[in-house]
Amino acid sequence: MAGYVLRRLIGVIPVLAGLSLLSFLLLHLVPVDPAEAALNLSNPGASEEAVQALREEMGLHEPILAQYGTWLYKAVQLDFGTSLVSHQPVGQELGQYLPATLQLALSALLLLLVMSLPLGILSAVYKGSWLDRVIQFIVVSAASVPSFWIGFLLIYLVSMQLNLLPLMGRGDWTHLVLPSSTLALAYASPLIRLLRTGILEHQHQPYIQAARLRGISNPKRMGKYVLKSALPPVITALGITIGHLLAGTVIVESVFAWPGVGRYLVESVANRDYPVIQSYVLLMGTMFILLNLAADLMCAALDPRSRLKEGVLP
Amino acid sequence: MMRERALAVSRSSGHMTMAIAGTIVVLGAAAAIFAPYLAPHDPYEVDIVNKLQGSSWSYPLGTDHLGRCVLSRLLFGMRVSLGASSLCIALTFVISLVLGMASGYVGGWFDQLLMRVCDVLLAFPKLILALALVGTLGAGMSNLILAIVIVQWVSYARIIRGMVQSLKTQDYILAARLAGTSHARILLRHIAPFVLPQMVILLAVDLGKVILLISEFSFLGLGVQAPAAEWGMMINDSRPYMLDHPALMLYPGLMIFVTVMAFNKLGDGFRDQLDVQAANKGRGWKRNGSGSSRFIRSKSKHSALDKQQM
Repeated sequence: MAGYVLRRLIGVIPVLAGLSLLSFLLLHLVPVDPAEAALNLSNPGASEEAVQALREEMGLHEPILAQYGTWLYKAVQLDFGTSLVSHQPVGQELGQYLPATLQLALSALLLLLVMSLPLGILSAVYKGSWLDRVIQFIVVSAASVPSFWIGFLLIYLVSMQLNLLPLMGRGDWTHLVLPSSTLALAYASPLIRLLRTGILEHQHQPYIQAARLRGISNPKRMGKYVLKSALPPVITALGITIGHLLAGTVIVESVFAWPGVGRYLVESVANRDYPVIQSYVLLMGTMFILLNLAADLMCAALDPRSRLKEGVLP
Repeated sequence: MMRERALAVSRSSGHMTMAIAGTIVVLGAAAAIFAPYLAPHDPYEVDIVNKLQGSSWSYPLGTDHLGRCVLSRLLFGMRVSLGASSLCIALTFVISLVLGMASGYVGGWFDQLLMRVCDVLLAFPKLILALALVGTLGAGMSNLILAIVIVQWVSYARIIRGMVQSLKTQDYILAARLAGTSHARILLRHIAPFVLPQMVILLAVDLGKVILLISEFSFLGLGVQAPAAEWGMMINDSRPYMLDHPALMLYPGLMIFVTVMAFNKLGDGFRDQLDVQAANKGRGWKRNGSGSSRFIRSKSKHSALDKQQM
């Protein structure tokens, strides 16, 4: 186990390095010179000297590798530069918006688990019944619908017609219900599907039959034997899903005017606030990589087979 | 035995679903191609006096906040969605085919480099990477298509690389080498025919995902720019009028839903058929053969995830 953990931890380093390089290079993809772009926002029509001075200040005259080094050194210390629009440190602004996004993503995750675990188990246990068909229909539909449309439908039905919940914005828990349901619904399909296939695959394995012959009751057999084998792929998927929940907040936050990093990003994209975009990518990418790592380690703890060299189930 | 019977049952009901899905796709494509002839009005014609009208003989689905014909805009939206997503898929196809085949066949440092690039690109949620690219390159349809191709090619290139890698050690390839066949000819005549059909299916299936992605970006105002008609943008436009005119939001959403669902159903059906074909060819083929069906299947397992990745 220790060897596996070490191997995975070392494996993450090059990916993180690649991620940082990619986020850094993003700024150099910009069709205009970053210094000019910065000046265009605050002071359009600035003189050539002003642009030159800013280039010096931003370190753009240095070789690109040196720039990367400086940028990375600062980023590790959570210094992500200043926003071109508000002139505040980006790290501080992101930190200000992040709790709202995390709150949304966490409650969506909770809903997601509450929703997909029972549905997945039910549709496997009652395979072929009308219940299974209804669940399958929901699964396929949810994968074919844009999440923002679901959000608007919920707003229209629940908030506007039934007057049950607040329309948008952030406040007490009632504000949280619609956005997190929208987000959870958008990502439930693959989990339900995986759980169902996993259970069906393991249900008729000889060791499960043996457990049945030994007189172990249905619920216990499901809980202790079948689920234990069916869960690892679901956990891996969950690690990826949490990352996507965080990414999906971009859209859901726009629908519900939720004051999180997603909406901040969309605003920054509209304003061409490059340092913010860059930092957002770095932040989300890092979280995504770490979450996947956590999911892999959890699987390894649960299923010794996945600790094998390739890290792939035989 | 039980599994076989269940398979047979699901196959017959699967044919029905596929027929319906296929019909929807064909009708949608026809609507997109003939939109200018089918649309009752000019989709861009603004008529403020006539705004937010309900359905009538002249405007079957009513008019939007600028008095434009909703039905005409929906039809032209089909053009944008299907056109742009097909273009994305075609570009992705070419790039991933060239890079994947080169990487799998040549191997060496090129392969290593490409795989590391893939690792990094796959370390992101696709939505974030595409957002970042569109954010830096600037909003607009061509940049959006570019961004989608950049985030999409990776997974396909990987699949192709895997297929080519296991194909090139096959006896018939070695025999061709011994007979003095050139590398180019081997790639074109002995490997490509095996890789192509499966890739076409995989990519066609993902049209639905790309349509969703394009609508999401247009909703955020980063894709198609006004006044062009696009479903995601139409939903965003209808926002202020939601309370009194919910239909404006309902129609484009339904269009996205039905189109994407049809593509997804079609894709699932094709994949099942590939699996059945592979199973029919016998165990030996599956064990030490090219394993192409294995790749498809492992891909399909992923793609349940992929669907949401974007």
